[in-house]
Amino acid sequence: MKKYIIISVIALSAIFNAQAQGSKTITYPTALEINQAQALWFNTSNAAGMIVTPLNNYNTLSVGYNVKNGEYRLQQEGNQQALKINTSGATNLGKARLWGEFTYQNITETDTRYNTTMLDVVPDMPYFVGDPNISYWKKQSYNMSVKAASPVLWDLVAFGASANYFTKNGAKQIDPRSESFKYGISVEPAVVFTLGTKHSIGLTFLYLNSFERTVPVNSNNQQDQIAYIMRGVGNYTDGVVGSLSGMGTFYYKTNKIGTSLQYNFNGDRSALLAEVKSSFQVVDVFQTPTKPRRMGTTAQMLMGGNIQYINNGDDFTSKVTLDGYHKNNNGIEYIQEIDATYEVQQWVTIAKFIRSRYVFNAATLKFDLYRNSDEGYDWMAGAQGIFSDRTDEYILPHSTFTAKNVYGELFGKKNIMAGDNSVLIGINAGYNFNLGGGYDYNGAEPTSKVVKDLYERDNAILCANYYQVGLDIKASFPIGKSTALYIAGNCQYLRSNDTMNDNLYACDNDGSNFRWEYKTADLRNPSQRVIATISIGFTF
Amino acid sequence: MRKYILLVLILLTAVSCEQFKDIQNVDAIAQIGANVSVTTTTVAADVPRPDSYVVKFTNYDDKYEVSSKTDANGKVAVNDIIPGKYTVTVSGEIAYKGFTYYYSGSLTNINIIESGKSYNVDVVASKAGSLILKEIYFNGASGYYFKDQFYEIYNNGDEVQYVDKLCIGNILPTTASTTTYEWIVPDGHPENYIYMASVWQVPGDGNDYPVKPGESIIIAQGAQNHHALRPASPVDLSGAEFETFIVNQTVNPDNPNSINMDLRVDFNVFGTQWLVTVFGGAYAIFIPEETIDNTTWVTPKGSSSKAKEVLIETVIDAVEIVNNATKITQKRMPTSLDAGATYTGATYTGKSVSRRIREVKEDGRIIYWDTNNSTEDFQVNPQAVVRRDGVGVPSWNTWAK
Repeated sequence: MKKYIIISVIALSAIFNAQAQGSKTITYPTALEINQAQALWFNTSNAAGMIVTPLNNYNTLSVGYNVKNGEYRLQQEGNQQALKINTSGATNLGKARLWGEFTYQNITETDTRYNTTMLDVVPDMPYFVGDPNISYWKKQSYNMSVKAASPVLWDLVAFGASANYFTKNGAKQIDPRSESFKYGISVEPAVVFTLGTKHSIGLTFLYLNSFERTVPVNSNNQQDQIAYIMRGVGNYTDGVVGSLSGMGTFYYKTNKIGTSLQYNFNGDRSALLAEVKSSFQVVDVFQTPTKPRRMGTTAQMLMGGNIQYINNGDDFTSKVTLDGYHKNNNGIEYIQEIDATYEVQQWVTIAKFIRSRYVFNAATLKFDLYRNSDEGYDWMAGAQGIFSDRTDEYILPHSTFTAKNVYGELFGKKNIMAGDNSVLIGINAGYNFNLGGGYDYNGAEPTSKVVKDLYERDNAILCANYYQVGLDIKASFPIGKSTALYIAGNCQYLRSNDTMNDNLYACDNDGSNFRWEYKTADLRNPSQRVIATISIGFTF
Repeated sequence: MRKYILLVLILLTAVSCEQFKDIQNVDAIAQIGANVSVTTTTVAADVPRPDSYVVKFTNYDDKYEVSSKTDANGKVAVNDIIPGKYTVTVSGEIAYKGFTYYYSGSLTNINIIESGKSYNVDVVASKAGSLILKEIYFNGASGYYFKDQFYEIYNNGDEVQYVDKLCIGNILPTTASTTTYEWIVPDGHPENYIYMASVWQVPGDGNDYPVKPGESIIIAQGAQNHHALRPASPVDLSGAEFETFIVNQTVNPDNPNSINMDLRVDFNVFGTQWLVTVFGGAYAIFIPEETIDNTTWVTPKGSSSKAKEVLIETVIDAVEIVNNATKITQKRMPTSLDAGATYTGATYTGKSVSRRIREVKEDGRIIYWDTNNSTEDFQVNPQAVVRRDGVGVPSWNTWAK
């Protein structure tokens, strides 16, 4: 499979590059940014709309190294180092439009806890295996996306489709360890109807299928390892990895369908695009493929929408984006028993109930202002506000995990031209203000590590005030008629020394041990996190 | 090619439709009620009944427990049950003419998912005084050492017990798992038996090996000082009363002091020692009514596994040990003998399981819990100890230190 992916990527790059030869000048980072902001349809689910507001032709290829380090993080997240190779491009194919992207990542995560099996830990999936051992993961991922749009036919309609294929594998490196594999594919056919020159409406249908398989094992096969079979909001069943009776292979089967509807108004200088979308996703979790036992199911309904408004002036371009969604995820658990009949020997479902609910609401309002220039923009400034409201609930025994936050940020960038060279310098500063939240556990194990070390600490992190500042630099150097080399670096610094409910989000003086309980000021350092990226690449 | 793509799309849609259909009309969980009536149909009429019984609903998956007391008619209604798989245990006791009568009964792995259902639990009565399995050390010591397994049998009653002809063994399946057997027995009533993979018997003529109240005997896999042989082992078994010595082998030495048990059923005895799985077996002690005939056996449907059937009514005590908490619902021992299960959770740790102390008599004699529910009766010990709590050694054991 890997070789087909690599061949596809090379072919994709070659096609894009061949299409682009001799037709353009240097693509500066600022030009790419403002072009993506102006391509309103590109920022929706509708690929066919690319024909209405097309991206300019471009190609990029980059190699980057990402670091995430520091104690201000969720327990399962750990610290991270990642090598990332990315290529993307947009081009014409006859009168059609084509866009593609491929990303490869090689990731090392250290100091992770309470995740024995999952390649990606997400709040939407309460059914996984965790263990208290501090561990590290090695992961690789391949992600390929394409969007295609036909020309407008009969002055009325354009067809398109987007597709994504990803595969990810990884292994946890400390007992209890696991070897995990995941793949997924999604396709989203799309159509756009143009109603005159100013109005268009679009429609898409989404189908996604994904599968993940993970095998928990021990290297030391004479030392069983404690594990927790998680069921949500701190509830779990005791488990063991290793021995004849240890946990079997876990696997996740995902199907998702969705639809979206768009309306676009294109004025002389301004444009508006509104989108509403919904999707429904079911993930079934099983253990032991040869005698499948249901570990749970999640059924998720998502409804959301976004509005983009852009004004293209002679000197300035401004854009307002409003995005929001509501996600309702039900956790279903099963009562099962073994049918012990000699010929059958299988788990049979006796009853099933919704045992937990996970509701997430989020809204983002963003404003960008660009000072136009020949290279894209001379400077830009903006602000954004993000509201998020998470409510996890285990119905019986009743427990809740909530966190409500609002984050505000100001940002700006300045492009400095030195001959044909460009240096884009950006800064950002933001503050997260917690509006409320808490963890109220009423299950059977109130003093367990899962409750104390995982959920209480994670809730403390998610309910903390913190500030974030960042610096972004991207230097671009032309090395040919239409090719530029760029070097980019980005660093974000988060810091919280907040206290709430006697919890202190701080670490020991040596920086080694994150503390959530109260400590006196002389024994602590503020909890902080650094997220840094450095990359080198080409635009051509 | 197009027809294959179409076929794949149709298949994927069908699969996803099935997945979506499965989660339709699933209700949110809510508490429900259940009624329990306790009966004593097998208890003789002249045996006194308790005023009430304690009824306990245990959901091992949810670690959820509800407990309530019956009325004088043995009935109780419980209203705060979370739907699920439950073990219902009933216990009661009454003191009468110097004896304490213990009542116990259970229903295991019943699905309580609808409100208002009624369940009947028929309890049995036993006078304190039976021999009990007091401590079992099965999971071995660090370094994969398992030759130090032992079983302690204690006189929990008020009268002298003779262990002559007492048998100990483990049943099939040897390890708790989702694999179960449909046994075929000559009388057509497989529910009346347990199925022994191995049986060892104490020699004697009926009054050779008395065990007084408060005393215990040790049955060792090998009666050696294992701690001296392997420091990781927590036990010195050189003073064990009995050992399960395999004759005609020289790998494991014979302790000349310790009395050798007779191997009566060897369907699961291999090599040079009686090794019961370090993950935890299901053990029973019993005194057979007749000499055990090891030339006959039974097998389950579709399997060649051999076992010796033993009537449940002859069993004196039984203990189910499983690997860990997730295996309790896969227990093997009939609930009439052990309504629960105990476990240490890991192998080669030197841990053991032993009964919890129920009371200490004025003379210092200890009475241990014996409600036929090892989940309730047993505790997990960080280290196995021979004759924990300082219980007595039989007077005829002159070699114990």
